[in-house]
Amino acid sequence: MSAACVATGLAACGGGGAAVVAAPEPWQPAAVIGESGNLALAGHVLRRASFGATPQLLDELVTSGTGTWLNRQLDPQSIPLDEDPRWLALAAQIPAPATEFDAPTQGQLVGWRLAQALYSPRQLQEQLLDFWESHFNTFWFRVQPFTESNTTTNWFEWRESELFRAHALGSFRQLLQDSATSPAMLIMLDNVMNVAGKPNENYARELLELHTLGVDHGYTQGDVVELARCFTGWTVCQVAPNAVDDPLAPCGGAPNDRWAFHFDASLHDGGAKRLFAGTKHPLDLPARGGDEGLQDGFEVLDHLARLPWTAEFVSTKLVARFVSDDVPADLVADCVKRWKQTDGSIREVLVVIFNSPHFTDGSRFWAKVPTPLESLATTIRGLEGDVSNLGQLTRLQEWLDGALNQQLFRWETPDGYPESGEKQLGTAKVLERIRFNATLALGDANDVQWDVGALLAAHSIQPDDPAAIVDFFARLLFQGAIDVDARDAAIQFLSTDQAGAGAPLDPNAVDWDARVRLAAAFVASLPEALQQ
Amino acid sequence: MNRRQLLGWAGAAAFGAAVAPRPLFARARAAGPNGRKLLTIFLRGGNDAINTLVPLHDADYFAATTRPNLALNPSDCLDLGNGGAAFHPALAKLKTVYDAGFVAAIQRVGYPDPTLSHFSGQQFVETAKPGDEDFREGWTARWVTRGASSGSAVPAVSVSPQLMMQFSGSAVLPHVPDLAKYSTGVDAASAKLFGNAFARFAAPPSGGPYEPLVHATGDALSASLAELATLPPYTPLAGSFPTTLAELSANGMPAADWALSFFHELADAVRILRYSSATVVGVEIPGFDTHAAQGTLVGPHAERLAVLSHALRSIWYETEFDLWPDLVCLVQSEFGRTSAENGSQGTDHGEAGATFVVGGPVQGGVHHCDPTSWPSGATLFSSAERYVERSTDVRAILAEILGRHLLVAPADLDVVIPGWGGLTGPTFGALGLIS
Repeated sequence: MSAACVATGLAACGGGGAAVVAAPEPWQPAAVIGESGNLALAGHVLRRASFGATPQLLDELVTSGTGTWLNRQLDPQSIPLDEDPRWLALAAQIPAPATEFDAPTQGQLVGWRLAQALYSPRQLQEQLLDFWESHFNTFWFRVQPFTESNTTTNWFEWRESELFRAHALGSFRQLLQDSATSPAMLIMLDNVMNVAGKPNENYARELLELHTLGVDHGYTQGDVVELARCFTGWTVCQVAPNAVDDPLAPCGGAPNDRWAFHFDASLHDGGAKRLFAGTKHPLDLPARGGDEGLQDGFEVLDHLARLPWTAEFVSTKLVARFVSDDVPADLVADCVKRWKQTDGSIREVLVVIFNSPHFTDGSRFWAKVPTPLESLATTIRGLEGDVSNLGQLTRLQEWLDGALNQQLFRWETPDGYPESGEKQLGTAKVLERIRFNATLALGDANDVQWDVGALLAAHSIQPDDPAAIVDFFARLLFQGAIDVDARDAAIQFLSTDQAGAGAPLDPNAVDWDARVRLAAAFVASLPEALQQ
Repeated sequence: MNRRQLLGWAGAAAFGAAVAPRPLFARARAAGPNGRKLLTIFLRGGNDAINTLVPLHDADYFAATTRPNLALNPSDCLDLGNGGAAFHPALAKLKTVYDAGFVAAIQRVGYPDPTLSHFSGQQFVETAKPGDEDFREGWTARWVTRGASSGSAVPAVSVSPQLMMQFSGSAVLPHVPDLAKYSTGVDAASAKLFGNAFARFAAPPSGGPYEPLVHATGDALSASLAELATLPPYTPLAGSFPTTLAELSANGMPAADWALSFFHELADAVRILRYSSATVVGVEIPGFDTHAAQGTLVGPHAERLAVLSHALRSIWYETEFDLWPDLVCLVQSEFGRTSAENGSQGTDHGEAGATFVVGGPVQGGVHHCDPTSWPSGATLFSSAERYVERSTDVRAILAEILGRHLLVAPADLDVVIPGWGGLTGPTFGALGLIS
């Protein structure tokens, strides 16, 4: 467990003598089977495991098979980041900070998430980053007042996000610790105020309810109280630059000191604790004073990560994310089994999901509703839109901040952005998506740029053939699964001038570009686009 | 003019120079059932009811172990004249509405098997079916489904950043985060696009679990756009619904974006209530989850109460000459908080909380916060030795408003509040909230 532990300098850091659930036997990584030659399946896999199909990815998955692509995505480190020149261009404008003193602006912080969703070749990792950011949600405006520094808050969020991304497909125990020791989380849920004698229950409750077990799932109010005691003394403070990874380093306040996770033994409740008494999985923690008290929190995380309720709760959320909101119970059971075998390997749970007949069942292909971020990204990726600078990323952020209401890093409640389809719909969210799509035709220099003529030419689509153009857009966005009447309406739209009179589509006419752009915006605004 | 209206004006006038002349132009009132309207205000996060409607008569409140840092000084509180209850000083503006007889303040409101989860608690209140985690249909959506508002394209509207669960259900109701942006845009090219796209939403669903909801949402969007995009303009009095941070400060409120957003939504809500056919409109105020440093006279809790207080008085001023006699405002939260403060000078999740029912038709008064119904020394820790036990069920208040104000028939009430007819016991009795 020491590898999963921050560099405390302590001999052990969790995984010690406490009566946690036993560790599993050694296991081998599994692979996804997948298949080739199936356009509908390729589209489905890309809707679930990426932020949407691109023309190139559709061809690749049909030709080489969904399994080949998924297996590569399951090992994100194997995918070079310089595959997409658009990603490189944006990355150059958002340099990775090394410390809180060169932290990104808020535009860069949010822009980085958007840039990765749009163009990162490690798409599955980015989907999971989005998942973990919601699962362990922190609210920028709740964190900022603690240090009263915008740049420090941006740094906390950036750092936390980078850890979630790096460990997105790793062990759940690690992710749990990334969150538990994240200054943003320690502040967000008031653990910085959680002290011996008068514990603050906020973090303890949400750790059980939202991060591990699920609401009223295997714990009592008494467990919340005991758990809060375990985390007393877990706080943040400013330490010397070389001590940011040492929670036992003394707190300073010199100009060059850095904010970091800190354990204050004098505020820790050193008494013995008993959690989950009366269940099959009680946890007893011995009385221990001084710096050894830090072990309480780590050992609790060990225990929580292995509890079957945690495996069930997190697996259920993963299945809802990657299969459908209607979660098949037998698939969750398979995930829980694999979780137990692999000590909570997220990668292995995903392999179970991707290999499940539920995942490849056609009835699940359009069984979800995209989040606003997924909607915007799917349209841009599908039509090969260009987002190449911070101004354009900021405009996208403004769309998400508005009526679409999916504020990255600024979602207020600790349960994170909701996933279910009911929460993605609503009249305002449908209207706003259509308004966004209209910018494909009507946008300015800060909106998504789109060279529709080049896209059609690159795929040998005749620019004067309305049916071919509509079918091409329908293939990119829905893999052809477009309602026949909607297709007719789009063809008629392309064959009609601004005044509503019939007029053949003419690539040399002044209205060609506007007609084709509006037709694409129309196709992207169909009811089909609200299902994924 | 009845006595209560007279009192209202007198009360407002007594407030002195801060009261600007209010508009006198007649405003058309669209029809709900008998023109009656309901505005719901949800306080998200669990409002600390004990420091909102303060039981000053209870010695436990002042015990050194209860709220050593958070107990309010009685001389700061606004006495409500029943020998017990007082408002938090930040509720001074609400007190003027109370003094006019338009505020019912109910302490110890809750539901059976209390949850300490925000999300379950909000769900239980918004669905009016406490205890059922799997039941996710809002009571307002069911009220619409029962046909109580037939003929309206916008029977109920959620004016909030996210569609509130109260408005979510098989009847798709308009969600309007910002009325100014609830339109399709103007130019001919986009009008053509929108027209074509909306037409497709009217097509029959052909499969997929979300198809019916997608199409119903598209239909609700088309219908609500037709009505809401054409509402007459509405210019509130200066300061009623502050539009700048400076205006918030000038009115004794925190210069915070969340407050600006709320007042923007509230102004939209009043405009919708006034000019559209909507009967029920909902808004919400975030940030009542005060686990740490919640403060007494100043701080996050006082700030939020000040915003609520200003909002309710503004609604009175803004609607006094048209909607007010037919308007009820229901102010709720998912739960109260622990009776004792925690180690962070805050409070943790609790059980029973406080509800306000405000408006022209309301019979003002205080319920369940007086020396008789709230025995000193035996109430503050009456549940689990941590919380206040409930004496009124959230559903009893809702039932009274629905039955007496919106005139929902008993058979419909039984559906809107599932199983209402079979609920008996002291927590379900009527309080006489509607005159």
